[in-house]
Amino acid sequence: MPDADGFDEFYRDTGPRLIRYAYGLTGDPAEAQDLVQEAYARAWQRWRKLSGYADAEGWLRLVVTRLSTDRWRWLKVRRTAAASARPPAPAEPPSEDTVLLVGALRTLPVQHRRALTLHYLLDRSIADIAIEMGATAGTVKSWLARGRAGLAEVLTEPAAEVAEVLGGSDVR
Amino acid sequence: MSADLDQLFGSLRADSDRIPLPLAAGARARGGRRRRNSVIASVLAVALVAAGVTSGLLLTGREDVTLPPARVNFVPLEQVGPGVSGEFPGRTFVWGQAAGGDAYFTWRSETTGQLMVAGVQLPTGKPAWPARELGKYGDFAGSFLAPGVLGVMGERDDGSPLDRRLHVVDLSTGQERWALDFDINQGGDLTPTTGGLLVTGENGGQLRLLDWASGKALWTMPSSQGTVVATTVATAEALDNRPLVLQAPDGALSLLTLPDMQPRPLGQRMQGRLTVIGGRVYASTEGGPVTVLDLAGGAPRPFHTPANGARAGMIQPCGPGLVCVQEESRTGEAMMVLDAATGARKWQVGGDYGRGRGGPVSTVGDRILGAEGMYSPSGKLLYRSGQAILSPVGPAAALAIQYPGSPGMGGGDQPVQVSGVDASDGHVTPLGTIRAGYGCVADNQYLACPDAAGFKVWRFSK
Repeated sequence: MPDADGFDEFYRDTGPRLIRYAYGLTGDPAEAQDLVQEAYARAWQRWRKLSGYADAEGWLRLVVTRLSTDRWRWLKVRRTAAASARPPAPAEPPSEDTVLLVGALRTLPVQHRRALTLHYLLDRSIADIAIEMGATAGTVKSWLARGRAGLAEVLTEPAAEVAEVLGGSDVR
Repeated sequence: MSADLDQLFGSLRADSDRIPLPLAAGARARGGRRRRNSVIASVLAVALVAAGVTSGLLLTGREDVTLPPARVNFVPLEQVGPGVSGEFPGRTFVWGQAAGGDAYFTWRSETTGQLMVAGVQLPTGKPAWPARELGKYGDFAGSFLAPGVLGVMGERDDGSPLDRRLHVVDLSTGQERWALDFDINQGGDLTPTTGGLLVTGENGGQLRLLDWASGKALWTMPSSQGTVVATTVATAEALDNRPLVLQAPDGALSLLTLPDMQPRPLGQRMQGRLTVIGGRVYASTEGGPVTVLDLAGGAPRPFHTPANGARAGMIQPCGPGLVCVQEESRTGEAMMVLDAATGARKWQVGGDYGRGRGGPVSTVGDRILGAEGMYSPSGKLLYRSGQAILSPVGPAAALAIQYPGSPGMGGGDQPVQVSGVDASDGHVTPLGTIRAGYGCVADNQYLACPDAAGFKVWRFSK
């Protein structure tokens, strides 16, 4: 099946953005890789139907969001998938700024994190985010404002406290 | 701060773009396996909840708990009754659960998308009630047993905001009592308790307890009360009607006791995913250490730090005085068996972080059923399970069920080897080979499996 009926091309076009989105949500490169591959695995299963969607990439983001917050999946799916799959190539170590930011992002409610990720990492407008998240523009603005405030609060804490938030990571 | 944020997100964006994209072919291959993974996940998730029910022993801290004297008298498999026959087109990925003398099977048809449930009486091998359709779905998200009901979750794949529907099925009739659409993207969850179904995360943090019989709200705690905006409810002991631990977005913890449901702030904060085992709250963060809080008093303290490069995952009760922490590295998994109070490492499964190691555990008495076999509390491998799946039967034994094909696959007509394993010493009693498919379930005396015609029951003890 050459290029799997457009699936591989779609994957190459949208994959980097989805990785970015997943990294923003999870703050973990390996988790982002795993979520993205899982989302595309689901997409492949439904490719005949999904390829006709106007916003198939939005569907993928919904799946990534869902998977990142799904306790049932967290409990086991990744374990069993990992047991039979070759691990993706490891990511390079993140920069110090990224380490600080993802640590702070993890302290935010998922809605705030999601809104910030869409806005800052995918350059989505307020109106687009509102549509995607099923909220009003005012609510999205509120999420972004509260998200920024939450980040500011964590990021301005002393280094030792930030290290604690980061789970003991070495912050230089 | 805005400029700083721009810079920080710019850094995050640059780092994101350097993360290697897995191969498209890998995603396609994984798509082919994904459904069976989902089924396994849900089965094991239910097992985790069930394990939590018996975890009260962990509070005692006793190390001398031994197996109860009750033993299973294994006998060669003997079919019971005619079984259940029917037309089940596209029936794959069946899984079963047993309770109260019945077995319940749930599956989704690959050809029609129908989510189905059927019940069979274990002592007679006759239908408990006819197979019923619950609806058509893009996927099957899991199921759980609760008092008098079976909860079955279907998952839509059409991008609708309320992406899952929980069907609450009456165990005695097979009829749907009520259903609930929910959205796991809102940070909420469903937690089955003996008092009802606890629904969190609606309307910005509202909590509701729904009556198992009617689905009506027994009480509602609006998010406006502020102190309790649950984003995580530790579920391991929920079915035992013990206090639930609520975690606010800022990590503040409260104790919520059924049935009066008055939250009591604990005055402590913990970040990350919570698991409550035996009166202790364990919190794990991605890439960070595990911390623990004694609900009896004190402050959160360090409990366990994964080895270099590994991440702490699922935390489970795994016998008296022990907690198992799953660790995952780039090369595989390991299960750390730790002292439940101090976090001191006792032993581990999968020392080389091999693939498939360190999987989930369940327990029989103080025996631990892990990915590779049955262990004593001190880590002695009493029985190596190989490719077989171990299923606890009663308080002192397990069944080892070996399917020749991949989990989730198979049309129900493959040779399945069944053996009984005595938990006291790991002694194995071969019970026979049956023609069946993946998804067998057992109680203390009977084994029920899907087969080519439907479902059949075998007795394995007297």
